[in-house]
Amino acid sequence: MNFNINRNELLPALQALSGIVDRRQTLPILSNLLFDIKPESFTITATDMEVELVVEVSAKLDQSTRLTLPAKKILDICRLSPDGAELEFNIKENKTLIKSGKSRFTLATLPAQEFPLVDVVDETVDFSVDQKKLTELLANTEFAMAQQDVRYYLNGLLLEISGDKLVAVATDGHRLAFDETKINASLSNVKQIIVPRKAVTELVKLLHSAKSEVNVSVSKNHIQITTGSLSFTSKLIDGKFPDYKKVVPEPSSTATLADREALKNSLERVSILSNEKYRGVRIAFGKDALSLTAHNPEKEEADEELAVEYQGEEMEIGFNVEYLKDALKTIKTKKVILSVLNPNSSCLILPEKESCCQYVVMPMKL
Amino acid sequence: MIEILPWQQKQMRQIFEMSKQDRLPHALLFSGPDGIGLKEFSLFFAASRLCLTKGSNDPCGHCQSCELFKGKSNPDIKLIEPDIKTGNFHVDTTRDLVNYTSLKAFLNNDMKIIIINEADVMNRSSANSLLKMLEEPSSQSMFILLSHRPSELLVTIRSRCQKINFYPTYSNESIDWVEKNFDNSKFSADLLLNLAGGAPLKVEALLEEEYLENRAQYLKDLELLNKKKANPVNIAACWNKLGAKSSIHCLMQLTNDLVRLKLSSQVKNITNTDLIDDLQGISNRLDLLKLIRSYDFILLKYKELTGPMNYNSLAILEEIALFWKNYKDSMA
Repeated sequence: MNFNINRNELLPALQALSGIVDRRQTLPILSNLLFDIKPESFTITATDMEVELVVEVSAKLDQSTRLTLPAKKILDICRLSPDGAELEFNIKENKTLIKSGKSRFTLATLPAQEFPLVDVVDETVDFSVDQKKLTELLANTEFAMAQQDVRYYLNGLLLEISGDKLVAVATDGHRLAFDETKINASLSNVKQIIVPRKAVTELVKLLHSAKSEVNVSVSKNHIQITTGSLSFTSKLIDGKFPDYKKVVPEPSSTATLADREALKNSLERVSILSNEKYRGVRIAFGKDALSLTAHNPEKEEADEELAVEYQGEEMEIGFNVEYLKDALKTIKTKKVILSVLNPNSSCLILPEKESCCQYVVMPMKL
Repeated sequence: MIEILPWQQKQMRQIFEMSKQDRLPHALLFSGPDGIGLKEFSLFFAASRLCLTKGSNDPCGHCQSCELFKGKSNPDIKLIEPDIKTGNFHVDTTRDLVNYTSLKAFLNNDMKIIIINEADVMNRSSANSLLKMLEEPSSQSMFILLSHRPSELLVTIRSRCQKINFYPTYSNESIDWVEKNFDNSKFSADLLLNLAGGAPLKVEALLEEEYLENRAQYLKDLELLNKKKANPVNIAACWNKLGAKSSIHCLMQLTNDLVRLKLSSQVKNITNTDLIDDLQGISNRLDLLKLIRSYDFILLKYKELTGPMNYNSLAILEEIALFWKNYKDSMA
């Protein structure tokens, strides 16, 4: 069996897939790509058994065959072939001959039926969402996911689909990020899934803020996201996410209104002298002023005053400065609201006049 | 595609009965002697449990799960084994496992099967993280621990697993199986199975090491040592060259036979039936106490060799050789 394809048509697909191919190489077949060629479509698939990416190649071939080829090698062959070169594939029993100009490559193939392909069919919940909105949703929450926590259900992002809303929540037990967006669906019951950390980081790389629709389909064990020529599938985490609603406090009536950029810069300056391990910064809320102080084991100290709008009672709370900085970095509005109920409560950080994203940071004893 | 070994029928019925009644626990412990085929059994069970064609105990061989199984790429089966070089589990293996168990299954079976071969060699920290997973299993994970020495497992791990035991087999089916699967004309299948301690898969290793051919040599060495006609250091070096573990094993079997012959001179009681004449000769010349003591001594040394302390194998063999040579002087 033979087919020809232009190197320029193949290369972008292979480059997109190269990130997914298993680096640990636990199974030989996982370092291969599956080429599924049909007259109506030509797709290439990469998987590491946790996440799977299918890319549709624009070229149309009038054949039907399935084969696997070593990912790294085929990518390098394409990459190093001259621009616009025509590649001729000659498929044999368990070898494939690739001819291009005067070069010839014989690659070993593995049987296509041994390639693990996800089958997302059962009990799916489907909806579509604006790609830009989804990208923002992920970017606004992604940073708060836990890393290799024993509470494995925290090593991922909670997605909650209810009515026409998609809620994303991430927490590592010390801080929490919450965001929601509108989707094109109206679901009667609530569906909660946890997308693993790895899948979220891969998704952020794949999606871009173009104005187009993304189709999402959630089955019992998988989530599949399809956009244009890409189809990304990931396994879900088998666990129950903690009830985030209990963690998010009510906004206080006497919240602080601060300039986001100024607060972030002050925190960054003060944090120079905070303990390198615990990153503690003390925040004293006073009348229309915040005072930030930090000190380290070498007895060095930093403090800074910041003018804000605050009418509540005076109090002092310690926070991990990195968590505050992360939240302030993702918020886009000019002013932010810091809401603290009492010296032992967590701090709720909200963008001004825009209620969808919310950040909660737990206090620390200093 | 994969078949059950003939001596494992009983255990298979037991486990499929549990499966049928929906009482499969989240953790199983298969224990039995080395070479009884624990890994083969667990893979068979995993393949059949995950087979998408329902209705039969045997995996169908053509559904998606079975096709992937044939290519050893079924994502819902994870077989982890100690590193061949170090004999221990790699730290990353357990770390990966934590991640693997936290995710849902790949195929639409809602079940992942994690097989841990030689679970007893896990070091403390790996065993503790395994314990953590067994204590709070995720809903779609099932653990199968395999062990030849289940007593070496953490008690807390053992108590969380349902145990399925495999015993040495000497049945006619097993003898037939050995006959069919191993090509050898010199020895009877019966003798091979006996020497392998009733663990049919171990026969392969015995044939490869030429264990059977070497037995006569060991016996001759013992005789020479006993008559003080050989240098124990040279003999130990020679044993060490043949493989320390199989040497001790063979010495153990031979002394065991010598003891038995001393007590009753019937062929049916011993393992090395083909060496009966030589054995009888030596046995007659030695006293029972020496034989029993040296058996105990070899047993002790075997434990030292296979234990966690990493003793020098040559030194251990020298000790045994010296024991045989000097027995009279030191003990009488």
